[in-house]
Amino acid sequence: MTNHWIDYRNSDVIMNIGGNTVENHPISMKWIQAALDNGAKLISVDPRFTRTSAVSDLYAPIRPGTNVAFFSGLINYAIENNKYHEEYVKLFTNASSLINPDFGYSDGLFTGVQDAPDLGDGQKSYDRTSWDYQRDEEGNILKDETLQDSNCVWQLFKNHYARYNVQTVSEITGCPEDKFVEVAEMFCSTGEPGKAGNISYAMGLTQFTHGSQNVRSCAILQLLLGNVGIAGGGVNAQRGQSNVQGACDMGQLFHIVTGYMPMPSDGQDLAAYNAAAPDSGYWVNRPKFMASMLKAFWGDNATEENDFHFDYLPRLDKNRSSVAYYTYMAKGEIKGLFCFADNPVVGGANTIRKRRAQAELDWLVCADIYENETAAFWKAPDMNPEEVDTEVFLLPACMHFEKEGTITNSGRWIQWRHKAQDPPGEAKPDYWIVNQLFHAIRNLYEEEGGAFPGPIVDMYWDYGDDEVDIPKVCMEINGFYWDTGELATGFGDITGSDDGEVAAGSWIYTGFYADEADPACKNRTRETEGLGLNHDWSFAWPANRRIVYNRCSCDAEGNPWNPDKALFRWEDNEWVTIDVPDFNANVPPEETADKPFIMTPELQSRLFAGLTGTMVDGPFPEHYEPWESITANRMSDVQFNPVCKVWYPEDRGESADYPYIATTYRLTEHYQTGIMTRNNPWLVEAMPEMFCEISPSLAAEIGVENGDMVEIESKRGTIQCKVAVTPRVKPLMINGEEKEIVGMPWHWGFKGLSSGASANDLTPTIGCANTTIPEFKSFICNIRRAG
Amino acid sequence: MANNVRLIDVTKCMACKGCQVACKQWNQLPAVETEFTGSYENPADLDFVTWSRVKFNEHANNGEVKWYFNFFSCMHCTEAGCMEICPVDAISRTDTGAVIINHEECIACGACTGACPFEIPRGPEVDEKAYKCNFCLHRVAAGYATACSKACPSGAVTFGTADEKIAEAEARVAELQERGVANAQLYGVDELGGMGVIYVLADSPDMYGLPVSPTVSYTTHLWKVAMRPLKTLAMAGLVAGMLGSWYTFRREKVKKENEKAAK
Repeated sequence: MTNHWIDYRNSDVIMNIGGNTVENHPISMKWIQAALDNGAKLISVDPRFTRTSAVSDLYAPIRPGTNVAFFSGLINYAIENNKYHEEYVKLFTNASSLINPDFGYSDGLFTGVQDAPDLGDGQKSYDRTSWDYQRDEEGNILKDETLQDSNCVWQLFKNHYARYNVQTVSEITGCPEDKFVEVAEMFCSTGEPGKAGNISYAMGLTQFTHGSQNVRSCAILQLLLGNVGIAGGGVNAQRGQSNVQGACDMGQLFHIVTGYMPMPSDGQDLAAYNAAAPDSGYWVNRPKFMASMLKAFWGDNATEENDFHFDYLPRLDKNRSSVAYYTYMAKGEIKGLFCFADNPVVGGANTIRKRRAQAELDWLVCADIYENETAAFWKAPDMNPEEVDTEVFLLPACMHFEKEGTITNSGRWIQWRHKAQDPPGEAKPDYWIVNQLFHAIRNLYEEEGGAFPGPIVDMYWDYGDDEVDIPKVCMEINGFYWDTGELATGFGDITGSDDGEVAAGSWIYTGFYADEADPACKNRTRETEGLGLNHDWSFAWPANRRIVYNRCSCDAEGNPWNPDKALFRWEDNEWVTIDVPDFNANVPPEETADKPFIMTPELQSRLFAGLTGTMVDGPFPEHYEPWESITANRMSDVQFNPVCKVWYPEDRGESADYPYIATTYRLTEHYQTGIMTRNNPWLVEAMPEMFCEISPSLAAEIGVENGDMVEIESKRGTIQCKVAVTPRVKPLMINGEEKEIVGMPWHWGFKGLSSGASANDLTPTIGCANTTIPEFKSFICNIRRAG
Repeated sequence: MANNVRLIDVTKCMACKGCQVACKQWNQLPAVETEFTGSYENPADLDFVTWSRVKFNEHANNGEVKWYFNFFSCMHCTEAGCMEICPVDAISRTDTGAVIINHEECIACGACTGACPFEIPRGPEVDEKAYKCNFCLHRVAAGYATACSKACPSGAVTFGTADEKIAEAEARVAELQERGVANAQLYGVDELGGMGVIYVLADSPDMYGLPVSPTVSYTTHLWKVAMRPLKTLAMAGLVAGMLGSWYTFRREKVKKENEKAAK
């Protein structure tokens, strides 16, 4: 999140799209309600009328997988009706930058397109050379402040989005034109300077073959309306699990290490890695951050002479996402799997294939609070135990209330959590298990040698032999001067010292545990008046900043757009600071006015994300259909994201066989793959069984009534469950034809107190072109009465 | 001591069922076996170990869908039919307004269920005693709010003194009406002599599965008069037998009235 949960109360309009905030993040309603009490409006955009829709001022339906079109329509509406925040756009975005005249777009493809057979038959990749700025001889970006040059971002942007008029968007998304205009009017009203619009979302934006472009579309709309960097605004990713934010910060994603630094690529040495760092913006410090991370990993063994053992870091040789590695597993390329607090056999995509892939493993180690479906895959109803040779180890883990440590919420707040009670039996914290494993593995390497022992035997690992010293782990993440042990108080300690002088596990966390006796993450002072920023409650990365990009809350002269909800104010020749500045507050406002995005090399935000960015599928988001769709792409001849990898082409269904749109979601009563909740009698009582939801018209078509058993089939598999026939699900008019939706929760599996069919037996093995997050949220199916 | 009131502002309710589960947890009530019948509403009814639940009321009108939620439990009425009819005076009111059942005294006749316009007390057929929400008697005595209100994330269920909560509810209804919720209304302030549960509704009570004009039936008053001598005789068995058939009749009647109201 750019903002945080409590900040929702500062919004004038909140749009929840690609998420179901009330059902999946109930606590958000506390702050949304506070906004509503102040006269704010809540918009719910969802394929179904959900519990969020029920408490919204405005509900608009949308076909799953068409968010780019929906956002593009809003962007175009704001431009055409002059609803955008012009001064903000000119100051804070790259609207005026000139782009290489060779850049262009034609029929679904941008310039630089080339065949990429390794991604799949007919798939493409881009040579992004033409997606760059025009620069002068010194490398400065050329600009046209009048925004008139035909090669400036603003003109390219306007032309790109002009294609997304209301009628077109309505036909793609299924949102009736009048509803769409209502949404556009209500949300674009926040383009007025001083108004704040918040977009909250979750996996309903990300889990598509074009998921990253969905999120970019959201960000572009927010920039256009001047909603980034202000109280009550923001691009707010509501994390599906409270510490997912922390996991990403610690480098759990396959393509990054800690603190959002990229994984080294194959064959890259430290010099090459550092040379690839941006040469302007705050990321110029990346070499320092990398050295501090390596120092934290390998301690005394990491020296300037040996490049801090950069050679010990794994290299990203190929796609190593969760989608990818299960395909490698299926081919027998992966022999063993550690699976901690994860249940991919229920929560992953295409779970029938996942179970079969796991049968190719020699060994599988699972750590969870119950025996989950991943550990029990060999006894799944569709598996034959006699044909599975995998040796499975199930370690009893304890729950979050049974261990101490920190948790990082969606608003980037790193909060200490005390242990509330002892775990039952032999259950242990994950960190205890990892500590034991590490010592045992290191002993083996030391005693027996083996391939590439260095990264393990040289690792700095000093957290205790049995009980793990968690404050010690925290201090290493926070960073400390290697020689003296003095704790780092901010990034300045890293950037202002020699490479490797400070060891810091994740540079963005610096400061959260700077005081051993009284660390900031344990701060618990509530704000009693003000905007709810709560600087004395825990610690928000980076630098305890509660709203990032916050220079954008003021105009060029330093006057807040909204004086009542000001984050800063230039007064009497100095900045009055209410939040922690995301800019140099020691200089007059004019000096930072067009440099508010310190993390981009151009120091501005990108309406056009070209060569300075990382998007592989286009500098502007473009609508493509999901991989499986019931209709042809209305915008171009390119049916689905041309740059995503197609893993199993034979798994793709045709709409003639699977005429209905399918989507998946969560329920308030259950959590993720249900391990914690499907084993809790009170929650099972509240939501006892797997089901799907369809409209009365589809129910009539297939001859079923509320509560009947149905069979749902995709190209990947077939499941059975009960059906809810409800007017909350409606068919949508898509490109002139009425199309039905089948929605289903994905919490169930074959184990537990409440067992049931897994929706993910139906979902495909395909992911976003940029991140490989699976396309869970839109595929096609058939449905019929069971039996 | 002042009467307490549970204020249920359905316009803030998001049906997370936090109240429902908190009720079970605080009172250590076991889960009952439920099944999915096409609605998110579960358990489908109150019973002797289910003292509260969230109702999901789905309405479709000309393509516009409304999904109304309301937390449903004992209303702790001033004119408490259950208290009135109880042949052995097992039901009483505390000085904070909670209507509670003394299980030492209860003879499991079921009369209270029949006499309640909301059919709240339950249990005789299972446990031989009647059970229902006790307004978190022990929590409240210790200065805490009820478990349901403590658990509510959005402020839909709150707990406080009657004066405070009624004023809050009145202000909220006025605010909602001002915002264009034309049917916003109070429920429970005038009903049954003043209920211990006040609802802020966005629509008429029947849209929430609540009887529009809940009353304690005339028969209940008559029974009270007729029962007086019986009570002193403490002819429990006889009373239970007599009341059993009356209870069945009454239960059917309440159900029909509610169904009628819902239409």
